[in-house]
Amino acid sequence: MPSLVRAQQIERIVANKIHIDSLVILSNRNFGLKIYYQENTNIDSLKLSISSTKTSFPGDLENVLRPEGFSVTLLGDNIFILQGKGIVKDFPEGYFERSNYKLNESLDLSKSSLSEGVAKSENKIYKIGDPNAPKKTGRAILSGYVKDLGTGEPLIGVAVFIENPNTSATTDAYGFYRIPLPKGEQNLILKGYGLEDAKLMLDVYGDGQLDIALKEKIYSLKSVVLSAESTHNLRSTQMGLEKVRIDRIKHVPAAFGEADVMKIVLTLPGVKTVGEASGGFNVRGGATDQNLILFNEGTIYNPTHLFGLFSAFNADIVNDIELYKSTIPARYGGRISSVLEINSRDGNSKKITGSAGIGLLTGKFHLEGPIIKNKTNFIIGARTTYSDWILGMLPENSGYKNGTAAFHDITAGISHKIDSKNTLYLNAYYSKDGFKFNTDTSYYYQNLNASLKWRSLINEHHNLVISAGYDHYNYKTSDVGNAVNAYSMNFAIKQIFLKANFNWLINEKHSINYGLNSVFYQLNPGSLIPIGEESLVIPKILTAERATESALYLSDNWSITDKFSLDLGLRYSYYTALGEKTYYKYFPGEPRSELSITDTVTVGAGKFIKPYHGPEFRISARYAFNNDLSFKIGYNSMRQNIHMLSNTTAISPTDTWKLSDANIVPQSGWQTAFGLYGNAFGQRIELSLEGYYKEMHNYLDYKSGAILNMNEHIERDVVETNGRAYGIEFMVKKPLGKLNGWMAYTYSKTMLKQTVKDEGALINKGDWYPASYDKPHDLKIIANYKFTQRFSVSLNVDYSTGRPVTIPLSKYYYGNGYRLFYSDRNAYRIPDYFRMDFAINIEPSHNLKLLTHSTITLGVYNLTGRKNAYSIYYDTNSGTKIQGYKLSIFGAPIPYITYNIKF
Amino acid sequence: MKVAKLYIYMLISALMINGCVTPFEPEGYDQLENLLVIEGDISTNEQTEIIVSRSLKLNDISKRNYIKGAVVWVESELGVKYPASQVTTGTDVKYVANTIGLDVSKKYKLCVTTPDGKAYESDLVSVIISPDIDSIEFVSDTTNKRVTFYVNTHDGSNKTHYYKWSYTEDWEFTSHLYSSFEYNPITMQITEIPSYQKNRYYCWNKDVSKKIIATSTTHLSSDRVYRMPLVSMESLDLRISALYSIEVKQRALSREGFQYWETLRKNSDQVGGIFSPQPSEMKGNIKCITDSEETVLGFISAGYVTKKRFFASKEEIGIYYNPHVCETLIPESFTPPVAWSTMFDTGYDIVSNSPSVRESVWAPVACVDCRIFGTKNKPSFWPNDHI
Repeated sequence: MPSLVRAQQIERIVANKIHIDSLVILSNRNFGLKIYYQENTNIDSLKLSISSTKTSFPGDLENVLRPEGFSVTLLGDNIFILQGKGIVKDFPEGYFERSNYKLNESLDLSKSSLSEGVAKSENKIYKIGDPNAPKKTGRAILSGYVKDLGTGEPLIGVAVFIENPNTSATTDAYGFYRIPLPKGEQNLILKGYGLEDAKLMLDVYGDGQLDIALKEKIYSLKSVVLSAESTHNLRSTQMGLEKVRIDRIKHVPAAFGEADVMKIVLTLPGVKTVGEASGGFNVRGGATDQNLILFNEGTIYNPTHLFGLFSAFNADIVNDIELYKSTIPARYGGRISSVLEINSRDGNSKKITGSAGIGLLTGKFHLEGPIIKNKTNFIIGARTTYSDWILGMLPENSGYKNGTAAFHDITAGISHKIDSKNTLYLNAYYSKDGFKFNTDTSYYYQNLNASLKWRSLINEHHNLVISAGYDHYNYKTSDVGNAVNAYSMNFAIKQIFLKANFNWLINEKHSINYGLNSVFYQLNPGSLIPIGEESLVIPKILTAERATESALYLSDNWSITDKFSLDLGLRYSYYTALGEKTYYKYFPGEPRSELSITDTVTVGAGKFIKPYHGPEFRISARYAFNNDLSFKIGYNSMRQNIHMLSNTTAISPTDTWKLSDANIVPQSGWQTAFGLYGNAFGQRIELSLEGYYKEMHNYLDYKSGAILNMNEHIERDVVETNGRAYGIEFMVKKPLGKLNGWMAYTYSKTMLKQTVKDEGALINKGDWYPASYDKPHDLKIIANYKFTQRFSVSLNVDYSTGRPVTIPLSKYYYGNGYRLFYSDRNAYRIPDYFRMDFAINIEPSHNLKLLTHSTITLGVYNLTGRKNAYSIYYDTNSGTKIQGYKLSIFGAPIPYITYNIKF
Repeated sequence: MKVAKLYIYMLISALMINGCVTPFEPEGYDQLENLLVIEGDISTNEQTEIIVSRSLKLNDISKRNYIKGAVVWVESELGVKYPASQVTTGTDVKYVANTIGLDVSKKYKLCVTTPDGKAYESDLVSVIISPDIDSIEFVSDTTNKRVTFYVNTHDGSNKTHYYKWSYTEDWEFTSHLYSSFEYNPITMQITEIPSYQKNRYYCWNKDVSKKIIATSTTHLSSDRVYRMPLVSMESLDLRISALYSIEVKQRALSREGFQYWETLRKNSDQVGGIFSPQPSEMKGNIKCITDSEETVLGFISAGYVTKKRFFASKEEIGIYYNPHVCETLIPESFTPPVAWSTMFDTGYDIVSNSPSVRESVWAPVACVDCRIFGTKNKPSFWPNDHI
């Protein structure tokens, strides 16, 4: 911050060769005179020397500027500098009223004189509202967008606040903020991660709009210590929210060097996975299907490539990710554990830019820029693999040498600004994985999402977002190896959604969020189709399942005092499966089987099969002891109507999904949590401690010997399970500085228990048993050290207790082979997990003026080469002694190199 | 779908070039032993053979812990008992009941009373009649040098649906070199083999199926099994070096029986992979009457079994290839000459001997003596006159 600003209470200005913007400050601070000037003139380049007192200042200024072709006009405490002729000072009486001229518009005028009407100067005073308003008392509401000065992209998660009285807001996914301010002179402060802090001087007369441009931090300044996240953590009632920006993701070492949007989620406290290379993740004891994964509003059912090795999102397109672990906002619903929101970027609004990169397995490319400058932007990215060489490395006689594995994904987005109040967004996403291992067997799955979103500012207090879209996921396997059995099997989920979300800032105490969500599901649980004329496979198409889910919600963020605020949310959801469908009724209390059928019911097309509805509560409270310490507590309950059925530990690509119906009850869950958040060491370090207790009901587990694919009576093969989980998460975070990163320790337990009595097949005799992702101790470190702006190193450490497994307790010889008698489910644990990764990031060309920027990343995944157990199993074919083995997926250090180029 | 998962597993394995499997012994838990295991199926066209044993700890080196002296019988739904008698062969103990000619329209159960006085019995099960085996065939993949034997069957009345197979295989093979001499390590003399009958050239061996082979045809429009793989061999496999024979026994199962064997198969074959199902609990159809809490392992079925034998010669199969690294040495040609006993002790055996020129030819014993890989016990049904 220039020291000039500090010069206060001086009655005289003595300035030698200063720029006009410095003079503006001096004039304001010393004399209380505000200078307005037009930016598109050459006044910026003038170096002014002046020495005067308050009374002589306007005249002296005019003397300096007139030779340059400017006029100086004093109006009250305002000085207007215009090119050419001055302003007519004396308007006829009542002129303003008659012409409806408002000084508000003169603000617009002065704004339009700024580049593109966006505030970016710390040395100007921005007038908000009508300066002719009689009194500077009471409150006004300021709203607008925060954008990147370089690219014009909206900046998300920027803290916008004033310090006295303590009032804050955070920009949303569109860079939009809205903050109530006391009228009068205010210093509006903006802080965002990776951005230069800004302090804007405002003169607030009434409600108004102000768009603000922030500069990306170029690593020469060394001033800011606060990050958006820390400010946000302390000020909002939101709890259990983790935000990660993409630049962080790109610096974290990953297997094969692929910057991975999903894998970063696993480094956050409270998030676990059953093992490397598995697609799913578990949040605070929830199952993998209890996470709602949203990519630009669309629901993604299979967010991975190559069976879970990579996430299916292109890191060049993604802006940030947000993971809600508790106090899930009322606008989200449909899953009971967490919400993972992935936002893509809007694209550069100023010029066409892009990037390209190659790694060991993938090549990628992205392009972005304006179609119509400052109005319509696009961003498009594509990724593909050339992983066939891995199959080529298989032994000659393995039969897979001629196999192929391919995936690609395409993300595209267009944003169009209709006017200053309305914006349209069009997003599309497509990913496909295909495999062919020999000429006989092929396999593929794909995601397809498209959505249209309209965002509108109804007025300064009120805005809306309406989105509608289509989500699709399907997979298909086919095997033509045996002519008689040749088949192909298909599975698909399709959904159409409509979401309307309103934000309404009633006053400085109440901010309301309300809206409607509606989803129509169509799930094709399976179709088996013969291939070829010889095939005897009976074509079998399971009846499509249809359902609708609608919810209304309302939440009020209520700031009772500066220190104490509440967030009260209520969501009411109504779900029903729809006909046409024929289903069985079973004798209550009996295991469901052919024998316990009591009735067969047929429901006509479009008719409700069985509605399930109920309220969901989302409540949280915050108490801020001071600027550096706050306490939060919350409760939320959730409902889930779609279930994933799996009998494997990891998410498998052939896992099937099932909608709730007459026999399958929706899952429900609730969580209560508390959190303590603090800043230490001059706000350089953020500390947080969160604890939770959670219950889950009607989670579907499979019976022994269950058949989950192509099963029309799947309710007979699954059992309802209850779960409970509790834990405590401790996190230390240093978001900025040479050394930055976080360390998180979690202690947690997750237990499951079969609820419905089922003779003989009661899992673990109906007792509680640990879930397969129950890993009590968990320590994660993500660290990055910047030696220079061109050279940084990153280190990951990941330690956790081994996951529970079912192991054999005894062997017996049966059917000409050794067979194993297994323990109770998940009665034993595999050895503890430990992994350390290391990466060096080099950016050889860091000059802003260069056309292209390249980055090289060298790294080693699993630096210590520890052979972490993924699973343990027993070979029953090797002799009389049954030998146990452990399978390690990345059992050695894996070096990698990637090269990315930005243009 | 099963196949797809296997392939996925293979791909993942391939991807994990650094992925690895290492021996592992979990610690800190108690293994179980002495769970009662009852194995065997009631047959209406064969003798019923029942094995009663107890389970063992995983690292126990014995195969079975047989229970001797149990009382075992098959009982019909009308209460007619068909007692089994204990037959001991070496260390093996089994109980054999003559159940040939049982009325296939009745239900039967198996009952066991162990020497410690505990009584066990299976559920009453129906007799399921297996259709005939249509054919056994093989397909040679000359590209990948692999031969696979398949079974084909069908049920014209579309009733069977669940099938299980087991097989015994016999094969004839020869040593690479014919030797009419043998070395006696006691007398340290080379003698001519007195009788051609004792040649060390032709040998036989046998084995039984170890994998669980079962399938269902419920997803097919007709009850037909086409090319169910039984056994697969590579080009170096001695079993296809001369004459190979496989006798397949086909058993039809109930739905519960099929589920039991399928679960057993998955628990045995499909474990440890990334997408492997977790092991499932096994629920058999045998319970302890005297202690309802006791875990009993096994599933008893009843049925009429069908069998078929099939022969295939090396020439028909056509993929057998063995480079036979059979280097011969003449110990007398060394200076000083190597003693015969030294040759014998280092794993060589005599191929030919010419006392007149004081010259003997030796080769690795595996090239000379077929008994290294088998026996001289020629099966009675063997179709050629080799001895």
